Amino acid sequence: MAQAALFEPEQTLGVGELVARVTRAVAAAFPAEVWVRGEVHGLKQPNASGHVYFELCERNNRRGPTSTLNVALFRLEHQRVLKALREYPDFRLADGLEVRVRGRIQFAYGRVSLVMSAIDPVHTLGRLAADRQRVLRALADDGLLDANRAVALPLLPLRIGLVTSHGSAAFEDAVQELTASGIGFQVRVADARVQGAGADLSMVRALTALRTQDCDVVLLVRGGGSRTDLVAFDSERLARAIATMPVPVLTGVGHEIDSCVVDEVAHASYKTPTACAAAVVERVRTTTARTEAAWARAAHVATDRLRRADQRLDAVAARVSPTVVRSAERALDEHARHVRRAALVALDRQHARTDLLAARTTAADPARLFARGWSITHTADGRLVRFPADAPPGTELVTTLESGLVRSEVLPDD
Amino acid sequence: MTDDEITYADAMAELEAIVAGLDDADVDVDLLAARVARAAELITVCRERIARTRLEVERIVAELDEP
Repeated sequence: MAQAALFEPEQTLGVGELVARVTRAVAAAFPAEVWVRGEVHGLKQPNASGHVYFELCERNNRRGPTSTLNVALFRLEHQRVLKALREYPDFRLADGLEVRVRGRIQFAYGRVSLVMSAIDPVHTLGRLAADRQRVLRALADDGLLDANRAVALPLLPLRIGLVTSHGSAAFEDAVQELTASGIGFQVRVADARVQGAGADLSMVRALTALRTQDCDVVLLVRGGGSRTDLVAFDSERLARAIATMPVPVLTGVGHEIDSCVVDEVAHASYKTPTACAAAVVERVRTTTARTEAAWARAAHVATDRLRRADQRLDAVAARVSPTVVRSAERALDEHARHVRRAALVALDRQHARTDLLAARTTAADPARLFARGWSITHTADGRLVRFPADAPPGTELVTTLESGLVRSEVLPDD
Repeated sequence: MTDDEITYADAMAELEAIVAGLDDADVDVDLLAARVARAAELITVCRERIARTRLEVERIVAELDEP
């Protein structure tokens, strides 16, 4: 009866039985607890019952699908785990961490999950340390470890870029330190997430935003946390962003023991946000003090030089002026004597000339000749008689004496 | 122009011209006396000028010497 066979019901399982079978199969496949390695995601705070849930993920390849396993950490196990972790203060369970956990695999509520009972913090810390070393080597290979240290810190870093979680304790500490200094800092805050998945990318974006804001220095700060809280500060892309910033980046990431990768690439690193801000305050104070001291020295030196120059001038003047004046006086005396001498010589010459003319005048004066008995004889018609030929016989003569005239006539020659 | 106003140079020039004329053989005697008289005046003027100038020079040089 082929027809009947067609309708013969195949074996059909009820949901309850199927689930029970899968549950048994899973339990049989994983009879004991297993260690599982993966990255923490979706970590939630303990719920009202004290249970903690998260997922362990593993990306199968760069772009491929991600395998996910739900993890339940019940209250009692949670307390045991926390107790065990007290020996590892650097460790705290957080998103993004790669962890190695132990637990029982169970199929419950329609899915496979891991009921966690223990965690291996050494695995995570070792992995973080190894990652840190790898990142540092990569940065060193690219010559980025000292790149930001080579950027000079301005003498007066007054325009400050502040990368941190806005409103956090770290933010308040840094701003408080800057404000309390009384120095007129201008603070540009670039808000960023500083913990959890994507925190490093958030800080890279904040740094990028500050590139165009004319900062003198950038402070990257975060409050205290465990090693695993600070995993973002070991990020290679954050380290590269810091190394290539055009201004100095100072870090103040709260941690006690070893340093983060960002501390290695930063211009300088400080233990706390407060210490980081204090370093900037100190820089400004030192510069101000040095400037004032230099100014005071310059003023002192200038005053001193002026005083000494004044004294030297006085000394030179005292030595020079009598000499100069004396020599000028001597020259003037000489000129005066010369003028006098020349004038007197000229006058003497004129005097002699006048005397000579006077003598000649006197010599020509006819009155003197008449007084001594000389006379002058003219003919009656007025011609001067100097030679016998001037007065032939019969000529009438008029002779002028000192006083009066004598008339006469020339007698014939015998 | 009176003799007070005449310059020394003019006085000297006139005097020299008169003295040169005195050597002229044909000088008129009456004129000669007048010329001699004029020469004497000019000589007096020149001598006064020289004496006055000498005093002036001495006074000026003495003033220069004063502090």
